[in-house]
Amino acid sequence: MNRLATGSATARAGTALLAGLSLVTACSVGPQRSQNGDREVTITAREGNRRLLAIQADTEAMIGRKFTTYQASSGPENCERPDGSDGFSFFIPGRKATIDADPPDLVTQIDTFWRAKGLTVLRSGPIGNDNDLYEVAAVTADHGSLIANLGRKTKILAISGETGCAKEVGT
Amino acid sequence: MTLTKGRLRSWRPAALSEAAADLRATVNAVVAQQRALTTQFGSRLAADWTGGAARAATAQGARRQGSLAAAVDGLGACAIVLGAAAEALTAAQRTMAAAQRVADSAGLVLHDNGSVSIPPALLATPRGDSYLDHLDKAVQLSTALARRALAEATEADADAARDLGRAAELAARARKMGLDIAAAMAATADGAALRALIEAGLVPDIRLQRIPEAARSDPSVAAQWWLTLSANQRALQIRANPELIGGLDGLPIQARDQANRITLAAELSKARADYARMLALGVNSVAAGQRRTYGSAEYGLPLQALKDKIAMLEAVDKQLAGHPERRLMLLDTDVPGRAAIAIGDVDHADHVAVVVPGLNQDVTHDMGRIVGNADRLNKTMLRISAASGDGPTATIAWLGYRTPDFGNVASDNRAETGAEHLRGDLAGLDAWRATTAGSGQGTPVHLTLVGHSYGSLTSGIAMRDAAPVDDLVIIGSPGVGVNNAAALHGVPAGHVYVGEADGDRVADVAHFGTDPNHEAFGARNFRTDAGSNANGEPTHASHGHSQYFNMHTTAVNNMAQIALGHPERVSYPLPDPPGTPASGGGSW
Repeated sequence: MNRLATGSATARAGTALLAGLSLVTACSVGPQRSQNGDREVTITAREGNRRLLAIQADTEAMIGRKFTTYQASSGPENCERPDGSDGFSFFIPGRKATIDADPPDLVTQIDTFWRAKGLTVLRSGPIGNDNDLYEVAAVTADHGSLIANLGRKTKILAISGETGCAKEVGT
Repeated sequence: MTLTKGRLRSWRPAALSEAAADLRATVNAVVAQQRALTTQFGSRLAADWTGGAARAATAQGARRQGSLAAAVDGLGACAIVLGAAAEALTAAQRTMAAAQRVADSAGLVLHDNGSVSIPPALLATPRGDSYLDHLDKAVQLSTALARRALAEATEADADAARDLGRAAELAARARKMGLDIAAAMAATADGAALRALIEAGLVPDIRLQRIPEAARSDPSVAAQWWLTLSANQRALQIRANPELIGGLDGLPIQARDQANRITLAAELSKARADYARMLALGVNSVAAGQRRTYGSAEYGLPLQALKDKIAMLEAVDKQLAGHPERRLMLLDTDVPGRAAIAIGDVDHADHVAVVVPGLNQDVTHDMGRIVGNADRLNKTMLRISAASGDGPTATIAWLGYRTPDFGNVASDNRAETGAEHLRGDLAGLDAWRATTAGSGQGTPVHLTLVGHSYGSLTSGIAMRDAAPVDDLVIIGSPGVGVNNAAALHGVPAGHVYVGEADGDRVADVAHFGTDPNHEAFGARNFRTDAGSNANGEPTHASHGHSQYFNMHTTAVNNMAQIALGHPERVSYPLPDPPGTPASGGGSW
C-alpha cells in the first residue's frame, strides 16, 4: 500500500519484535497471491514460450517493419510461483525496429492488436510528462508478460517479455 | 608488421588455449609414464640383475630420466605462457569489440589502424552542441579503447614470443631451485604452477608485479595499479592470484570474473574429488535433502560439509552456464558462501543497478531467484533504453553478505557486516569507472542501489556515510536503520525512492527505524499498485513481499526508470482528494 495506517510510534516499538518475526515469517514462506490473480500457470514454460513468441512475431508482422534482436532469448530461468515454490520461465528475445508512425498512433495499434489476441492490456500510453517515451504492457491468459516501449525522439520500438512462471519446463 | 584491427580480429586465442591444454595433457601423461617407468625399471634391476653393467644401466636410466624431466618442465612452462597469452589476446579482442560498439552506436567509423573518424553526413545537419559533445566523447572513447586494444595485443604477442623462446631456461632455473613445474601443474592447474614460480623467486622473469599493499584497502589505488599493467601482466595476475584478484575492489568486473571463475572451477573440482575420496573411505552422510542449519552439529560432519560446499558452488556455476552476458563479480567459497553475479557489461554500462536481497537468502538455495530478479530489472532497463536511447545497462545480483534467518532477523548485525562489504564493492565499481574516465579510457557510471526487505537495511546502513551512489531504491522495507532520508549521506538529497506493494506486511513492520514509506521519512514514494490504463480499466499490481521484480509490473518499470536516471518518468501516487480515505488510486 502506498498510504500508511497511522499509529503511535511507542505502540509500534513495543510490539515490533514479535510482530516483525511473525509477519516476516508469514510473508516469506506463506502462499502469495499472484499479481494476475490466484490462478496457477497450467501450461509448461516451453509452451508458454511458444505462445509468446507467436504473439511477438504476429505483432512484428502487424507493425510491418524490419525488427532486429537487441537481446537474445533465454531460459528456462528460475522464477517464483504464486505459492512461493520454484518454477521456470523463458524470456523471449528483445526485438526492436525503427518506426515511422507517431508513437501515440502506434500505441493504439499495438493496444488494439493485443486485445484482439486475447491479451489483457495493463498500461497503455505515455510515460512521464514529456511525451517522449510510450509504453504498452500486457499479460496473456497464461500469465506471460509482453511489453513494448516506443521512443518519440529515437523513433524506435522495442518489445520484450517473459512467460508465466510454470511448474514444469516442458518439451 | 604493425598490428591492425583486422589482424587482431583474425587472431584466434582459442587456438593458443587449446595448444596450452594439449601441452598440459602431454605433460601430465609423460609424468605418469615417467613414474611408472622409474618404478618398473628400478625394481626390475634391483631384483634381477647386479654387477657393473647393472650399475651402468641404472646410471644411464637416471640420466635419461633427468633429461626427460627437464623437457617436461620446459613444456610446462610453454603451457603457462601460451595460456597467459591466450587470455591477454582475448582481453585485447574484447577491448577492440568495445571500441567498435562505441563507434557503431554513434555512427562513427573505426579504421583499421585504430583511428576514428566522423562521417561527413553526421555533421551535415546542425544538431546543437550537446550532439557534438556526444560525438566528441564517442570519438575519444572509441579511439582510446582501440589504441589500448592494439597496444595490449602487440605487447602480449611480444611477451609470449620472448617467453616461449626461453621456456626451457625458465624451467631449468626453476628446477635448480627445487621447483617441480610438472608436479604443480598436475596437482591443479596453471595457477598453482605460476604461484610456485612466484614463490621460487622467478617473479621478475615473468613480469608479475607485486600487488601494492594499499591496493588491498583502497579501491582507487587498486584501479590505478591495474591500469598500469599490460594485458599480459593482468592475465598473469589473474592466473597467479585468482582469489585475491577476484575480490579486489577497484578492479574491472571482467578481471574479477576471470579470477573468480578460476577459483570456482578449482574449488568445485577439489570438493568433488574430496567427496569421492571420503565416500570411498566409507564415511557416512547424514540424511540428505534437508536444508542445513549452518554451524549445527550435523553441519560439522565433513562429508555433509563437502556436500553443502559442492551444492553451493554448483548453484553459482548454474547461474553462469549458458549466460555469456553474466560475470562472477564476487565469490566467497566458505559455506554458506557469498556471491555477486553481474548481468551485462558493468565495466562499460552507462547505468548500473545493484540489487541487495534480504531475509533468509543463501547462495545454494536462492541465487537463482536473486539473479532472476536482477535479470528482470536489467531486461526492463534494456528495453526502455533501446527505445529511448539511454545507453547500455547492467545489474548486479549482490548476495555479498550472509543474510539473517528467522532466528536472528531481529538483529541488525548481519546488515552491519553486509553494509561493510557492500560499501567496498560500490566503492570498487565507482573507482574503476572514475579512474578509467579520468584517463580517457572510459566513462563514469550512474549507479543505483536497490535494497529489498532486510537488504534495504543493509543498503541503508551502507548509505549512512559518503558513497558513490546516485539513487537509492528501497522496496518492501522493514526500516533502513535511520529515521530520515536526509541521514543517508551516501545518496544525493531527493534521490531516495520507496516502493511498497499492497499486502506486503514486512514493509509495515518498521522494525529498523521509521517506516521509509511514511511521509515523515522524506523519501519519494513510487507506485507499485494497481492503477488504470488509458481506457480507464484497472491494471494489476505487485502484491505481497516478492513480486516487485515481475516484468510487467508498475514496480519494476518504475525501478528501471530510476536506474536509468529518469525520475520524471516514474509514476508517483496522486494526492488523495480532501476527505477521502487513502486508496493508492490515481491514473497510471
